Amino acid sequence: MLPRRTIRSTGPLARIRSPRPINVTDQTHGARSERPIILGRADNLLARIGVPLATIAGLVAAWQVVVAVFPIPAFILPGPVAVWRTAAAFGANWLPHLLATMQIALAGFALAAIVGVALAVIIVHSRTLSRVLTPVIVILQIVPKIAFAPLFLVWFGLGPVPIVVITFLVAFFPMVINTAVGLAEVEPELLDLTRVLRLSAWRVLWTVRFPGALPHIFSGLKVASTLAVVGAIIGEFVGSNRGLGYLILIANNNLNTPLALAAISMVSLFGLALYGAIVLIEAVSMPWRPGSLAPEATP
Amino acid sequence: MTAATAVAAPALVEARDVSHEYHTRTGRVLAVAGLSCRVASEEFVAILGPSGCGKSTFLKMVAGLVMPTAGEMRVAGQPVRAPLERLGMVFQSPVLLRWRTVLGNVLFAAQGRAEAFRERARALLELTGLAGFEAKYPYELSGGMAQRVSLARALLRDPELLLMDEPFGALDALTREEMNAELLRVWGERRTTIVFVTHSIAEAVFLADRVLVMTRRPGRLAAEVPIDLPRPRTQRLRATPRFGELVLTLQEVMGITR
Repeated sequence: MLPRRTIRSTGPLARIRSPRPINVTDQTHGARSERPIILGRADNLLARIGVPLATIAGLVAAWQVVVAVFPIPAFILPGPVAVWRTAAAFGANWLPHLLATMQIALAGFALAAIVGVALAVIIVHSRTLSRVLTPVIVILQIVPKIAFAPLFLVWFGLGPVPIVVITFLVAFFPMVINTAVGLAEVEPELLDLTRVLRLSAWRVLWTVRFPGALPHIFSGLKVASTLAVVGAIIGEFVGSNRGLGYLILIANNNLNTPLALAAISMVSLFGLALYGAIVLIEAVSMPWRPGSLAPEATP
Repeated sequence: MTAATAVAAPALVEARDVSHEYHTRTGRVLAVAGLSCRVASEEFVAILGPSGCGKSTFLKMVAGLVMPTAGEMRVAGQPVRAPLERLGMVFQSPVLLRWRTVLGNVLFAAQGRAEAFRERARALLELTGLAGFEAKYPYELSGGMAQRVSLARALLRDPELLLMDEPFGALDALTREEMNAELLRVWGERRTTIVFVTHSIAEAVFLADRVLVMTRRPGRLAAEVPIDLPRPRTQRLRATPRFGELVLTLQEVMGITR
């Protein structure tokens, strides 16, 4: 007899079909039932973190199997075990490169976040400045940043400055767009209320527009954080003598594919950590969202 | 009797032949056409009219949120050019800041002087039946509770004039009747002038001293009906013959029964 299959109570589908009861009493702002994606309640923590980890482990295992079964030379595609051995052997040599890339990426990301939010505030508050700035911002986004990189070396000289500038240029666009959308999105009745209360434009910005835009700002930060890591690597490709980007380039030139892949893995881990940090901050910084991780408010 | 006192008392709100015309893509829309009326101090006036008759536009002109395109709107003897200091307003939706707690939302009306108003905010939450809910967020409230928060917020600065734009229109019938009684109870304790816009005849009769009926767009004054029901009013009043007569009168004025 065939074993009977039950698909009712376990697995991700079960969770989709029987969601938690959603509070539908919020008539003001529609159904805003977004919840932090990575971390939720403890009961499905295993599924939320375990399943993605198992997927990655499966992919790495498949990679090892392919390399073991087919006769592929190591300079074309080394297996994960070989990459791991190379990474381990490189040891303390990682430190200066990792630190250099982290500094560049974080500096470019911080610059993108600050300048992005500032530009969004200006765009939302002045129609004239919006008409002046928007085409410049869009053109900067369209131009391939890597084409600018050699020019930046000429303009800013060798060192971290041109790389940070490239990182900033790669990362700032989603910051501006998301923040501007969030700041502009205020219900007309709420604007009427701020006028009845005779609040100044600054007060409206700080007490109404900014908190309301936070979910959008975090969306921008998440995208910008991943782009900042990409930007830092692009910058290091063009003009640097250290950093993970530089290391990938050198390893490629020497046909040291295991080291190149190890460096790429290192970049990915750093990018993941940065993204994860933002998701965590997002989860605790908005206690007013249903399902938030933040502690109860004290009035 | 109420109408007589209303005429004798100095008008807090005085609309002199006010009109308002909107510009839309398809052309001009005359929302309010030459409307004149007076509201006395501490009077409760309901403005009744069909949907889209310009009654909200009229209220926004009283508030100073919208300027008349003809005529003049005066509050406390002065022409209205911007929202006045001691003005409270309750909208159809509660318009709560979802990132602030109940208490924080009431204190939003304190304009940054939260500490000075904290005790008063707590007292108002108690008055509106929200004691114990101070630390809740808007998503945790029912529609009726959210509207109570909105009322408490409007009362925080002790308004001389309270404007209410179909505040209970989005609530179910039962909650709405309950909120009507609550509003009268709160008004009994904190007397102020109220202009209350609604399209519910029963609500207007139950609440107001006087009902101003507006025509379909463009909104003009169709009739003025004094409500001679005794106060304090309770739910029981809805079952009295006089209540029914007044409802019928207003239905006739609005052309619903013939």
